[in-house]
Amino acid sequence: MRTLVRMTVALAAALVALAVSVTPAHANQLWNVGGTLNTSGTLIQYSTWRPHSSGVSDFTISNQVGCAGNRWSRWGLRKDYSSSQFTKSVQINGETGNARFSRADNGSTTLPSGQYAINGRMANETGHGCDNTWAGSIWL
Amino acid sequence: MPRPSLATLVVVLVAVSTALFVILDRPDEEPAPTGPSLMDREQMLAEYHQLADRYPHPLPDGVRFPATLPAPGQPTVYEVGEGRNQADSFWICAWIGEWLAVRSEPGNRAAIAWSWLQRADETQLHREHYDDPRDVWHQQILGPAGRGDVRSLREFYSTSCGYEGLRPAGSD
Repeated sequence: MRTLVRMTVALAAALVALAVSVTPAHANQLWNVGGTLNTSGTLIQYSTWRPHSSGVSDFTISNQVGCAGNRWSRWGLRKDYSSSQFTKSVQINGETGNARFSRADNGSTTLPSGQYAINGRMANETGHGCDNTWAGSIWL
Repeated sequence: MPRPSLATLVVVLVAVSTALFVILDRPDEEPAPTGPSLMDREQMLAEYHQLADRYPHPLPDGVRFPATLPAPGQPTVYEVGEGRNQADSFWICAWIGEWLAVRSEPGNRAAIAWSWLQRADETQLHREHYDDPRDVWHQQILGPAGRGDVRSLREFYSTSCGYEGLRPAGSD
């Protein structure tokens, strides 16, 4: 039995070492995100900030806003309090979808080390059967 | 004592692997931003000034909080807290800029700047509005700088500290 315990411990240690060794130093993170957009169509600057250490950023919508037949939302990332968004806006159409952010200034999909927060907006929709609740995830 | 069978080892391997996978690959949860807690620009600026005008910690010599913040290019509302976030972010950025500028100089300015940077975690921005479960701020940005590798911190400053009144990002 003692041998089995030793082997199990050794195996676990080896697997931990392997997992650590293959995790890149600049590992991005995946977050579940969600909230509500403004039904007047106005842009919302969300107040959750995420530090980032360089790499791509992918955004996925799993629960779309809007009305039947007109479901879309637009998203971007800001990096500080400048007057313009750091990434180009991406529009996600339909019930679900995903997009990769790219820099507004040069089109690169590699976002540099910094801190980022989400901007989002939807159409001006207040009719029956419309909703402004969204959910998804961001890889950053 | 009988030796463990191959089947036992396989079961143990699968169990350990599954446990490690769950631990290491679990997506991080965040509280969903809520919709009703929104501010217009005037309210956001009032929130910013409420903190910036009586900031509890000093700025580096010669640095002042901006009198206002640039207006976005389109109609915008702000989640509550974003005005205070900007005051905190400016304060942190000011000390990053100071430390990067003086870290190689004799005297105690670098030590003072570094000691304030260590207190970034006390800000509302980091306590309430920073989503950083894997501690990227310490492990990949501030920590390496403290050990002499300033690349990530300098890039952070260049990217996210573009405030009026702060020194431009330099280079070594």
